[in-house]
Amino acid sequence: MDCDAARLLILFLRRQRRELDPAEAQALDNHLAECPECQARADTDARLDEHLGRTMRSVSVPEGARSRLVARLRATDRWSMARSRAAAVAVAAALFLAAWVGVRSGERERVDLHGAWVAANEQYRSQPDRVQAWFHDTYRICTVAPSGFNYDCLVFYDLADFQGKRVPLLLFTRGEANARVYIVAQTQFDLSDAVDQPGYNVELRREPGQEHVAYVVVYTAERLDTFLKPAETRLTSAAEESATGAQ
Amino acid sequence: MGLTAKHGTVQRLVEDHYDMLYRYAFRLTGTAADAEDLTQEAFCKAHLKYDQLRDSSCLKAWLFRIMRNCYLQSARAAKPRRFVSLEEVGDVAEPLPGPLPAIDPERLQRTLNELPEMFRTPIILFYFEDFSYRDIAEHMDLPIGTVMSRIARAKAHLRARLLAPAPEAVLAHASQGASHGL
Repeated sequence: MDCDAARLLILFLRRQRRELDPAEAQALDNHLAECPECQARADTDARLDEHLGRTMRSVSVPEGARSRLVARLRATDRWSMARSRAAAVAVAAALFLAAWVGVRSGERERVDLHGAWVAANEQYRSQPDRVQAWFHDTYRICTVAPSGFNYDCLVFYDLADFQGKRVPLLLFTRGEANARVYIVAQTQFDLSDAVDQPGYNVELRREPGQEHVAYVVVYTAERLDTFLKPAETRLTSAAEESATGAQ
Repeated sequence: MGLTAKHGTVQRLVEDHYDMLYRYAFRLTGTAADAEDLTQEAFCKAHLKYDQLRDSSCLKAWLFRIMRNCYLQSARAAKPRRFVSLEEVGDVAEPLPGPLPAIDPERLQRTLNELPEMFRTPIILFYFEDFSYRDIAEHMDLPIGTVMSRIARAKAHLRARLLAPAPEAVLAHASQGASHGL
């Protein structure tokens, strides 16, 4: 082993741990025994590491920090326990109520085909303000429907499961293609970290002035434009909106 | 596991590992308040996820990994900071003349804070001595060679900032040598 190789290994040498490959460690030991310069360098290196390491480890732990943590963990446990009990009580109450209602009515509800037809038709081609009002009236949810879409293609909306949360879903169709628009709110998701998925028909869309929501759009058409308002219409709406805002 | 039993286990975790995790948190964040918050957060996460720990022999590594994830999450949310570039740092420290200068702990922390996390984490764990190169590589999900190289560069940076002799000390040493006819 020459001095260059030895000095490189000295860099990684941790005397108390013997982490080098045994053959390399032996070769280094042999070299150090014969080369006073490299031996001096290895000694200096060990002294420096020892000196820096001692300072690095000398952090005093504040008094009471540990007991504050234990108290917080206990509080978490109490809260979890209370929550479990509350959940158990709620389930029992719901079961009791269901049984009571079942006994009272003696029969299950009939399928209302006319009601289903009316509800579906009410949603067909709804405009954004109507969609927002529906979510508010039905679920007490304040949401912001995306403004760039062509609502003549809207056929359905309701809450849907999205990555473990219930979020508003809008379904647009055009011909055989469809686009599902999930409205995700900043209060439910970290919206800053979504990574684009080139090659997949999915997009995270945002709209100016609506930083607290984003729209996850999963579509089957070749281009998302299929479901958007024509550019001209969008420009006109934007101009109208800004004129309204200016008044 | 029942809540009481779980609590007992986590309380033991706190007793056994709090100090070391706090020290790691302090060196990562640079302040006592942030270190305490980070340590609390890490233990609370460990408390919630304790049932997911499959192998109790990996407990320490598991806790340190949770803490690093908590730190990275909070660092991502914080305002971006400027870090030094380690491109220019040499790999080998020259032998130092005379006794080693005392290291001011605040200056050490400032110098650590200058390092990007990718260098700061491995150098902290390296000096904590409980972690082998392999442990650090596993902790950071990196090849061992990358970890060794980062540690060498971070070490060179710390030494250059904290232990390089002041010019007057070098001169004094040289003139002392000259007066002894060396």
